Amino acid sequence: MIAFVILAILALGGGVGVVVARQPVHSALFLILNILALAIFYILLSAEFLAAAQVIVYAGAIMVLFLFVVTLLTAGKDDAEPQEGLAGQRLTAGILAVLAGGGLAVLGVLYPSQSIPFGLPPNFGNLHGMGLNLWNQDFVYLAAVALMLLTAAIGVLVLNRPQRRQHRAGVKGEDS
Amino acid sequence: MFLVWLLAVPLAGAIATLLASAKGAKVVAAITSFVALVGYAGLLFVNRAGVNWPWISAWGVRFHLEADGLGLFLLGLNAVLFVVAILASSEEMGRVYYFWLLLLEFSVAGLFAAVDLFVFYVFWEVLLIPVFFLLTQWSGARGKAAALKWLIMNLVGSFFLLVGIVAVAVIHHQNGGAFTFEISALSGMTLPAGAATWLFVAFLVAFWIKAPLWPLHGWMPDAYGESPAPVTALISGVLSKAGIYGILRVMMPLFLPQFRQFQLVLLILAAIGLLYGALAALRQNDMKMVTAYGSLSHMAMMALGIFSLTEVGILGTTYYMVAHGLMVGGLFIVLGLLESRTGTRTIQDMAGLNKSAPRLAAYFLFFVLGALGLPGLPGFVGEYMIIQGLIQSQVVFAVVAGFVLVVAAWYMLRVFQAVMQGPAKGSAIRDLLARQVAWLVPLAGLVVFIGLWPAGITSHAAPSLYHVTHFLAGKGGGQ
Amino acid sequence: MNGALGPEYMVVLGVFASMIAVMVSRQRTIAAYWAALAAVVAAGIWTAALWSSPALPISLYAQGVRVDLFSLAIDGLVLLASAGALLVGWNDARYGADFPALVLLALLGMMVLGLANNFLVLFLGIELLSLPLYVLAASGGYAESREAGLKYLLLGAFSSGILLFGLALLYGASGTMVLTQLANSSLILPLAGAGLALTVVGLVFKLGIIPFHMWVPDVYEGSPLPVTTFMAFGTKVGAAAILLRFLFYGFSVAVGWWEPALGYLAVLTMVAGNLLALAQKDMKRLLAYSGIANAGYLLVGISAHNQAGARAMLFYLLVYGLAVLAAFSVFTMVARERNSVSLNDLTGLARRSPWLTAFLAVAMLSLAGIPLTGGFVGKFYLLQAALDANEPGLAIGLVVGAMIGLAAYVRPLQRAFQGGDGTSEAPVRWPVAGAVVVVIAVLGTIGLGVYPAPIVHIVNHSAAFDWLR
Repeated sequence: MIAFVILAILALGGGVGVVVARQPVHSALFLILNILALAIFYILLSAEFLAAAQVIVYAGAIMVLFLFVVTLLTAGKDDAEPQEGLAGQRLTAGILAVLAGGGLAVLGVLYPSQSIPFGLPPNFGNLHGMGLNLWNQDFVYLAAVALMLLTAAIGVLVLNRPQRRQHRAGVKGEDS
Repeated sequence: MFLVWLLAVPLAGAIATLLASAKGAKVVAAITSFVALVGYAGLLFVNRAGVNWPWISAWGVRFHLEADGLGLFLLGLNAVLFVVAILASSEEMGRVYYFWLLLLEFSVAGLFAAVDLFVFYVFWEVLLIPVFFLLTQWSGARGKAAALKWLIMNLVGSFFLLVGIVAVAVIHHQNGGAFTFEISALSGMTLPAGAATWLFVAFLVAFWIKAPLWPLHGWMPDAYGESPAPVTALISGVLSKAGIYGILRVMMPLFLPQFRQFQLVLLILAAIGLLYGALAALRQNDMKMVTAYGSLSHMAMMALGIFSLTEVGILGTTYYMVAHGLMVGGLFIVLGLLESRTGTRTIQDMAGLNKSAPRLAAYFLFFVLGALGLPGLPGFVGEYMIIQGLIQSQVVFAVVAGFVLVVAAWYMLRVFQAVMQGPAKGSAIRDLLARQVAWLVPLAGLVVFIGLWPAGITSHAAPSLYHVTHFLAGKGGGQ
Repeated sequence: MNGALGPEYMVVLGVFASMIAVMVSRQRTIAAYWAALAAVVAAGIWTAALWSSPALPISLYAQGVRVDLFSLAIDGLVLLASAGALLVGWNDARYGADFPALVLLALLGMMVLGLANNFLVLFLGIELLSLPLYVLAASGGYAESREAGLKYLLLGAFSSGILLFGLALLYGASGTMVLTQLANSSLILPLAGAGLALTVVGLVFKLGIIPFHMWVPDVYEGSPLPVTTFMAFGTKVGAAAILLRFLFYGFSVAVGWWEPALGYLAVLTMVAGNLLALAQKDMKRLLAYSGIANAGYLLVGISAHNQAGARAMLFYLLVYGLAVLAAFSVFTMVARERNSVSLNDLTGLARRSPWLTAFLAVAMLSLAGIPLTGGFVGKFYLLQAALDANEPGLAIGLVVGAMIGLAAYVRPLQRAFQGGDGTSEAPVRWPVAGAVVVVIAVLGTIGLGVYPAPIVHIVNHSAAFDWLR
């Protein structure tokens, strides 16, 4: 319980920090805090694989990407806030967030700690169970995800088409 | 099979007009409508011709058409008036115009023969489309607005009719009956008290708009005023009957208790419409609008005949529908001929035209006299029967109807007098051409014929209304 | 597994074939289109062959996937949609050589949605459907198209998040991923309710139900025309199919939780969608709002929650799809190298191309629900379902919506029959592929209106949900 409270505070603090921080680099660093807290949550829930993946994929790969982009794009720029598009947007969002969180808290109090009545499958959460599922009965899902990655690859091709071809197409569509 | 002929020939002809040359389209259309008329003549020799094919068996929908006494003569009216309207149209109209006209003939023929509610509704709504396009493309300056008004007002009605039809079928099914849209199977079913009133109103509004009857006649002045004369003749002569026919065909078997319940309200509404139409006709200076409002008043007269809920009143209405259709159709076409010669419809701009066009004046007078109900012509017989029915049920309304007859004579003769008599004003006009006389003569002959022999229609119609009239007379009935 | 997933395999093969075709010859993209079309046709034949298979329904992958007549019917619909989209954009250099492969990938997502009997498959299907469409929406190469793609991506990802959260909660509340194993007794209450609400919101977003419709008009307007065609028909089929699966197979156990809410949403969507359509000048936006309104009609079938409702919905999907295919292929021909058609572009169309106008008229009248077109029979079917479920409110909402919509659909027609302004009097050119689509779609629309019995028969078999009324 104590671990939970500490981690929850860390995770929430990280989340708030992401939004509040002025410097994008600071936002990214707060995000790492949030991600790491979540990873420890997963370990507490005995989902070791997920924890490892969380650290490697999010804190590792994706965060590095973020930092690269942030440093490349914002290096040397002043950190003045851009003009807000809609007046009171932040206030509204804050109020809504507080309301939603409050609602969840009320629900949590009204229906206290109902545990899930159906136990966990064997090898839950560790690499062994994950692998068995992925390469055994759930292989078809993996295949579907592979197709999604294929889509992403094609998407990159399509969206970065050389300008020359677009130009020609604009002049003369060759419908048959 | 003559019924199928009556439907298939206009449909095939409609497609043929699209393939014909621009000038030849009229000839194709005229031949088609004439062939359809011949098919109708065959129908007269068959007793209750009908077709009954499965259509969507999963829903109990059957393509069931029947030419019983109620629809038989309206089918005839349809066949005759389309021949006349097509002959009266100009060749310049182009093939699409004739395509829409024949499509209209097809859908109206289907409507007057349908005895399955689904089929009835299909034709009911399909016929809006040709009229919509006829009003959009071949009408006056405000034709587009008139077309939209026509379509939207009528569809408002018919969508509620659609809900009503499905609801009736579903209720019948939930009461333990088969899922069917057959009117005869649905007739006399017991509806839950709350739903019955709503359904009654939903059906009635649709028919009320189509007729049109006051106060739902908003589309009428524009549509009549803007459309070319042959189309006006068809809308007023044939299509308006669809509303009254719907009340007789669909609502009478389903909603007799509700008719009893609301009889007084309905009679009052119809009587207001009767007066409104007549008085409005009196105030018009446009000779076409005089006829239009006169026709509105006549529709109210038919409604009165039905709402009298007496055998003679209802029979009078069925007869008057045919008679009025022929006469008002003829009248609108003669007015169209007149307009094309003088270039105006305003009464004050014309006078003394009988000097230069005596034959035109004669036909004009003939149809005017028919419309105002001269004895010997069919208008008189219909109005007489309706008033008799009203005397049997509610005498007050008979008095109103009698008063309106006088007004009718006044507004019709006012037009004739102003236009045809007196010293000639303006240049002389061409008289009727021989080919125009060629189709006016048979039309007038037909009017005289049914005027002299009303039993030809009523004796056929009576058995078809047997169920209703029997029930009304309190001799049991129902199911 | 005896070939139960054959149609899906054919589509995957088609994806590879069309990509390889592009690689082999960069210049002649036509091969990619032919490969894709062949895959679609092969999948269609396989679907038809499976239809009479005695082994149905087949459950695969620990009940994650369920091949039954319902999924086969959905297969047929989405195959039709993708064939239509391929032909409308046939070998048009503007959309690039990868257009067919992306269409096939999205098609696969839609087919998966028809099969899904598991939360995971449901989510994978939604993503597999959405990802290619994000790319396709942005593939026009002009600013509006990029904007549409970005908008679609952001809002779509947002809704996917909601959907995923809902599914996770549902798993937590029920302990099973399989739709057909959901049981009322084992649901943990507030959790299951929240999960259901979030999941339905996520799905309804894809369907474009008001108030989750904001993305529809912008994305439809910005995307290239063939993509819009595909989205209008295909996405709607996929989203409606999975919503039906999810609610009829899974949450038949707790009807009271979702039925009233969906009923209100349906009425709101039908009325407001048509009202918004009334004001549109751009044809793509008009059809976008019409698509929203038609999603409302589909929702009538779902919230009626009876067999007739499911059947009516399936039937209506076909009817709507055919009308949309016809309308969009006409618009594509009228637009030519531009990418939008406004009301003004249609002025005088009847004089320029009478047949094209006639086809457009049939499509529009079908959308408006005039008899002797499929649209009428579809609405009639939905009305039956609504009244059969003793929901007169739904029926009234449907006809009020149809009434308002009518005015919206008739306006372009009136313009088309108006005299032109003389600027462009040349007849519209007919590309062969587009002509094939429009003729088939129009014949189908009229055929469904005149003799719907065979399709009604198919639909009755396909949605034979005996556990419903």
